[in-house]
Amino acid sequence: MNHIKSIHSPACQIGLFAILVQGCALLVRNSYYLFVLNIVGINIIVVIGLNLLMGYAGQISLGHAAFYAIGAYLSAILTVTYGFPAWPTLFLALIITAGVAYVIGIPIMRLEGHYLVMATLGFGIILYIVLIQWDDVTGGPSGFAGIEPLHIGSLTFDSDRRFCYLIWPCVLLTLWGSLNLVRSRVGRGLMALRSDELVASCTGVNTEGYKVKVFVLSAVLASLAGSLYAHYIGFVSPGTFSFFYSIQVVTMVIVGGLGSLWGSVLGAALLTVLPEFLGIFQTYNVLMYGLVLMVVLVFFPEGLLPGLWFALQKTHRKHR
Amino acid sequence: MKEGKVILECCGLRKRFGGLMVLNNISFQVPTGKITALIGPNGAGKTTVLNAITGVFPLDEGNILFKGHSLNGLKSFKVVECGIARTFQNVRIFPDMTVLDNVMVGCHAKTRSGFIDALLHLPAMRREETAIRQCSIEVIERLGISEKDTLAGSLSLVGQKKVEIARALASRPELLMLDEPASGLSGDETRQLAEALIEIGQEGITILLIEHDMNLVMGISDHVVVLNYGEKIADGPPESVQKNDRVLAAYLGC
Amino acid sequence: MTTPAQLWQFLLSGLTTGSIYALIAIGFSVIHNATGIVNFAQGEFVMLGAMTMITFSRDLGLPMPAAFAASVLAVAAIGIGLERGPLRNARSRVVLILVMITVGASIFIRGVSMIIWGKMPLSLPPFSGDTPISFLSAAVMPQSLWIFGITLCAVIILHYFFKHTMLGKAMRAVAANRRAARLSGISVDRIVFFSFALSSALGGMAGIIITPITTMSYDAGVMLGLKGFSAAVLGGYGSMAGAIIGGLTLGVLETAGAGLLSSHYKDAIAFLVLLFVLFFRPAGFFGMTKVQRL
Repeated sequence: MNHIKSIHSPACQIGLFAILVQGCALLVRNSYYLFVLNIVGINIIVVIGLNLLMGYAGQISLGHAAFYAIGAYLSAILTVTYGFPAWPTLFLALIITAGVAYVIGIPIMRLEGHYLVMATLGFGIILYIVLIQWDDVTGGPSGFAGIEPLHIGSLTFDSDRRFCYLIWPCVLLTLWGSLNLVRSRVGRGLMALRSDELVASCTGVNTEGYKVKVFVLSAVLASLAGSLYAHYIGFVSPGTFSFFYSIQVVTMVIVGGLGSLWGSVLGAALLTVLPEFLGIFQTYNVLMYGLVLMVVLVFFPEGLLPGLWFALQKTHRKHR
Repeated sequence: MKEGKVILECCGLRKRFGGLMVLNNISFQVPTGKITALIGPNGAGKTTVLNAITGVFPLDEGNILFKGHSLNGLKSFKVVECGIARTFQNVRIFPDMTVLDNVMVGCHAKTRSGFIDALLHLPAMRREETAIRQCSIEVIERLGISEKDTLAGSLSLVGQKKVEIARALASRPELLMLDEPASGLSGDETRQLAEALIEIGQEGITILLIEHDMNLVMGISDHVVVLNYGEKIADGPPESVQKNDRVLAAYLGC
Repeated sequence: MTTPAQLWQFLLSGLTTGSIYALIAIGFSVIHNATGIVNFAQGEFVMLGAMTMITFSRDLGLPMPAAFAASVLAVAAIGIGLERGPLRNARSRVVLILVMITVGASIFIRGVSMIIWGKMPLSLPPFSGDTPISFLSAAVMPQSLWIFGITLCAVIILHYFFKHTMLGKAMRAVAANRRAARLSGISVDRIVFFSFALSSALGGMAGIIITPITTMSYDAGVMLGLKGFSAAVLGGYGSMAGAIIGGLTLGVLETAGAGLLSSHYKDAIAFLVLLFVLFFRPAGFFGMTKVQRL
């Protein structure tokens, strides 16, 4: 365990991962596959942020679709309706999301965990209602179209392949930052907080402050993913940001394993790709997610992938 | 270390849980650089005093001064930053973290780097990280803990107690408060603990000790405070406390 | 402008939906008191109550009272299944994991219901006609009277149950102190089992009596569950009186808000209330602040 940690620094692991993704992107000719790859990337950003909250701070949000929506809709409305430039708008959206998460987080983080679950769920539903009802601004149930793709200089990210070169560096950056975070003083503080909040606080960890900050961070990452999504697809509608999306990302975190960032990458990839190619997932989407979430939590509370991994190691040891 | 100075002063502490008066007008002083013991029968309110000092819950009345500054209303982590570290009655380490990580959490109070530094892996943060690691390893070695990379939860009780003390020491406290460090230890282990505590005391760290083991208390402490049913019944050097009638009555139940 | 008659009308219809929220809120409290978890599938029980009633009365042609009893029992069985199945067999005892299992269960139930009963909203005929009765210058649907009556009966029976039966007293003992209750010989397992049965039955009943007024669809559970939770939090989580007062208050606030401000944002009102309470008075308006245990 030990030597693996020291040899593979975050930078090194991410380098290998980047090569792998690059390889995938080059091999894939079909633009639908590239599209799926891009959506995987977008989901990974949300899921990593959520895992920092769930796996490291031990708090659960069922309203991440709302933060995802704030990013997407702010980028859409401000650039199209008001003609704001795209990149500054994206950062503005991040700041606004951070503010909203901060305001929600401060009072609620003092309460027991399930209040956050309910409050974020409630917030998600309020926002969803607003997206549908405030149709002068949001386009209502039929959605909001005409969002321009992002560009850097003369390079416009307007095709599936080009967008690949925008989204994946963002994913790698997110991953790099998050890996740094969990291996730092703050990461240890978060783990201590999850393990025993009172003791963490008596050991010098500002538990309330950390919980709020990690909640804000995870909301900001969802918002980033939302903005990128809006510019990529060019169209946003409330259906994408419903309660069900929040459930999907939570399931991805849990499948990948609480507190395992690489697990999140796999979880997001698995649960994004499978439904695209498995018929049973398409017809019984809701049912399947519910079943996966329930079964994984019952049998592998530490996560499906880590759970399977441990089980494999155990049988391996037995055979020897 | 100057003689005769007071590092911690509790004045008229009162705390009530529902109808139960757990602390009733308790005042005592902890002299700087000494080992002070806080003793009393079960339910006397010893741990409550510790919890009040570390800001786990607010007091109903009373004032706690640390080096002349009031601790009232400070959150627990701020109290640690002031220079007070503690352990818990039933060992409370972070079981799913390694020994080293446990102790490194202890360094929190004296370090600064935050979310942004960590996310961006800034040089200042990396320097601090190295310092934290070094400091923690030193503390671990000083307490004679050999397995720094195992999960703390898998250690024996003695091992876990050592980790807890190491974690507290890692915050470089001026006042170390130990809640029944000897409970569950064998005679030999208790003697080792006593030596370790004396050594820590010699480095200039003041110790406030809650303990039931009278041999340990009378053997190493310079000052003893006795509580019973939320009230202070005696206060003084060990020899005089041992002869105090009220203390004998409380302990023997007559 | 709004006339007193309109306000009176809002009050009456608010109390009607409020009764439903109260029943759901009691269900939340019962499970919370026995297990310490928030059961996110509570809203799904409500939806299932209505759906099984539709199957029993419309498709199988059972008479109303028999279908009513059968549906309540069926939902209770599903509630028991949730407890005996996933929750009891969970490897982890961490509260938040158990809570998330109920979230998974609720999504699963929702998915299955969509396949069985389809995506379209379904309705039930009112229990006794739909000619409004004029009551002090406000029109009252007979169904509202049924709702008041059944809720009142349920509350009276529950009150008697908790105060005067051994099982009820044991449930209160477990809520007050689980460990002490176990040490004094109460089978906590049995209490947990019964709590799930009771709270899912209450939920199912709420679903059956409201459907003639509002219709029911497979995805209505989340909303109903959340409103019941908001009601419970408003009244003080874990207390039955709080659940009732919270439910009625929320119902009236919601109807009045929808009538006076904007009907588009009717569903948002409950959550604004929830967030407001959590921000300013997390113990609710009738609950006691709990002493934090160390």
